[in-house]
Amino acid sequence: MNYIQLEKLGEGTYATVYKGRSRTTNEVVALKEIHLDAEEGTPSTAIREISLMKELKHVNIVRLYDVIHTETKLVLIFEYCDRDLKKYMDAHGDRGALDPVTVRSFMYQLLKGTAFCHENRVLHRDLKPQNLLINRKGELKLGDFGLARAFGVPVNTFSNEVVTLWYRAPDVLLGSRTYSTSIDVWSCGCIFAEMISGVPLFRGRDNQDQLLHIMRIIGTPEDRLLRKIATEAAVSFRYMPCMHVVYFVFLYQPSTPEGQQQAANASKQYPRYPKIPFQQVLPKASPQAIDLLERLLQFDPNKRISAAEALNHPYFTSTALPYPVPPPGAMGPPTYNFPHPHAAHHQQITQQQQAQAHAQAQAHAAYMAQQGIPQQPMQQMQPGMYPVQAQQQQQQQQQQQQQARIASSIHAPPPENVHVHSVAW
Amino acid sequence: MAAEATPSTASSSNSKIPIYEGSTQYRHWRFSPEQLAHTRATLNEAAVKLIRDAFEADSAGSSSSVSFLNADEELLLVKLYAGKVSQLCGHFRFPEEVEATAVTYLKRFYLKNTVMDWHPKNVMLTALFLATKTTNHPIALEHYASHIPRTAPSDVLDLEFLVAQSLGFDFAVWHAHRALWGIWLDIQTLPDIDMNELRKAYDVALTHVRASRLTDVELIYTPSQIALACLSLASPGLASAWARSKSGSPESSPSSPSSTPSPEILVLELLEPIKSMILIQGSPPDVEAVREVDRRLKLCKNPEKIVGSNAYNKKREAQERKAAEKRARKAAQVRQAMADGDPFGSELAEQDMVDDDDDDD
Repeated sequence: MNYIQLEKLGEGTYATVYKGRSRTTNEVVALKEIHLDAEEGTPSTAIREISLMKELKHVNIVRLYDVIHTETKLVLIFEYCDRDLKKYMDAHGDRGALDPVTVRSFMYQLLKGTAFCHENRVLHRDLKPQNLLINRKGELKLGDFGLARAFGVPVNTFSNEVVTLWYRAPDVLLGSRTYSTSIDVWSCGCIFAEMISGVPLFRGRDNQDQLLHIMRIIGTPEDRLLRKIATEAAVSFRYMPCMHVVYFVFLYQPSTPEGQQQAANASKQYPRYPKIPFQQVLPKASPQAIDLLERLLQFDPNKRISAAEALNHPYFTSTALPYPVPPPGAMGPPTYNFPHPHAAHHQQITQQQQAQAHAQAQAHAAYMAQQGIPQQPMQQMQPGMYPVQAQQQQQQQQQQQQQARIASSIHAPPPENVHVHSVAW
Repeated sequence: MAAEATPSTASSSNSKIPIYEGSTQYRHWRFSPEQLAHTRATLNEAAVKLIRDAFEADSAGSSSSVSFLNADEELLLVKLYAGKVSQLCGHFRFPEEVEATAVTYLKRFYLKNTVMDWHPKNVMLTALFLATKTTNHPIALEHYASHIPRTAPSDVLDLEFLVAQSLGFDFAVWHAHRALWGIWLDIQTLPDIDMNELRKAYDVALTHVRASRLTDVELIYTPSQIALACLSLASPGLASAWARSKSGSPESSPSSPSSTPSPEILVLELLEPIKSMILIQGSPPDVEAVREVDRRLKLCKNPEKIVGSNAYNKKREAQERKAAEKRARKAAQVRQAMADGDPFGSELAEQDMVDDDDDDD
């Protein structure tokens, strides 16, 4: 094999993932070793994955470089990413919450990758922070071998697959099998909220509980809508005729007993919860972010915005900075260039970009001044934010410096810039 | 900032190109008729030479009496088994997508391999089994094999890697019957469409699409071109009405002189070769002719691929010897690396390394 196998990154149900390095280019890659099934040969999940990944070439989708087959095993060579979004938030977030510039950049990239899947008639169906990979350049990529999962989060049957449940659309929870692109859009909304607040938005224990969590925030929908979804769920066509259904985690949906039970759920009586304004749930979010979230998290799948439309939302296109109130400990313009953690990469950053980042920071400072907000200290003017403990301050400031680096190295998409990747590194 | 960045990044992310043109089908499996003929002739020649050598190695002079297959005869055999896919799919009640995909796999396989090495009877079974997996209609292998006479699960599985690799793992296939379905939906939105006539035309067009699977058209034209050609065979009027609606030109364009034909005329002209290929080649081959080819194939099969033959055993021995050498070489490298105090080896020092792939060559 033309790759050197390095440390194990994780173990999934049908594959083991290793870090690897190409002998020819020295490039670091992820090697996904498929466990072959003596009974059925190459697992059909692996075959489906290869089939779809070979067709999906996009900067926001993890690239399948190659498939290598030896006498005893099948290895998929994937683009390597340092960590998944979950780990990224843990490492760089303020208690998991990312700064607004990073949130906007990641959200843009997430929607971009999702829109591309949808354009190619592919549903991801399992979008969650563990399946979104972030590389050193701050590029976000839809992937499948979420390390969190690979490192032992249970992946088994549909019903107790808790992690995925949190990002599952209400229509799917109600038993809908129509599998339209709107289910991925719902997941994007959940991820959006989670990046802003640092915690998953709806954390249900099971199907029913998940629905209640959703309704407690976005309100119980009209009976008419619930009945409509229930009727659609009862008509059990398995998927839209031209939709390739992707299981990036590859779970088979049991189509019968549980499906019927879920369909029955839809006609149940639900407590009539009022809608809670998202601004109340996510005090840190800007009005434009709230408006986008509102459109992503529509209970009625038909009313949900499409990924492609979402990309044109003012949250991305307006020139306003994505700050509602300044983020905790917002920094002034950097007086020096922070040493980049990856020196090799740092060299590639063009002067133009540094200038851009600098300008952005200045604009930010100007905005702060305009709003009459002093740059320091921050905690007392964060109504509704978590109280910041004094002893955490120093640690926080380190984080913020890191965020500043990331924010300046990740380009928040400027309005006219259609493609994140088009910025030359 | 610039929308056009370096070529390397632009090419990977340019979403302006039509989706079909980004597909592996468009990029890897499109040929001109001449390329197809050339590829097949070259494959056939190389195979004949190899097999002749193998015969000679087995016993000198034994190849002179063998009548090898030519490229056309090979194709005839493949075509017969393409037809068999359809029968099997009917038996298992597989959806059309599975059938069409399996046929495509079979045809693509024989653009990389020769029937003298791998008999299409076996390859067809594996191609179909693989297609059930790739199209998400999996079936238990045991069940699959038990419904096919004289076939063990291992017969199907043994070739799975070979087939997958010959396909370059390009499993996703775009089909003409899907394109036809799209046209059918589209055309209903046109004004003054007689639904009865349309329904009839669609059914006839679909039979032409199925016939087209026995031909080379899918290796030359796009699924939508094939679909439109099939509709045109069924109802030229409907086909041109649809083409006109797509090109946006009015019923008749008196202003445009004949020297610049409208887009829809160009499209319709393109359909002619497709139509004639389907009409001429789109029927199953004469069974007697194929039987004769198959009889000769029994005599000119690559002896290296026949388990138990001298040539097979020799080839095996050579492979095992090579593998053992490779293992020894690797072990030596590791020992050397350890001795050098660098347990991870130095990749840079391995530049002159011999091909370390495990593929069989």
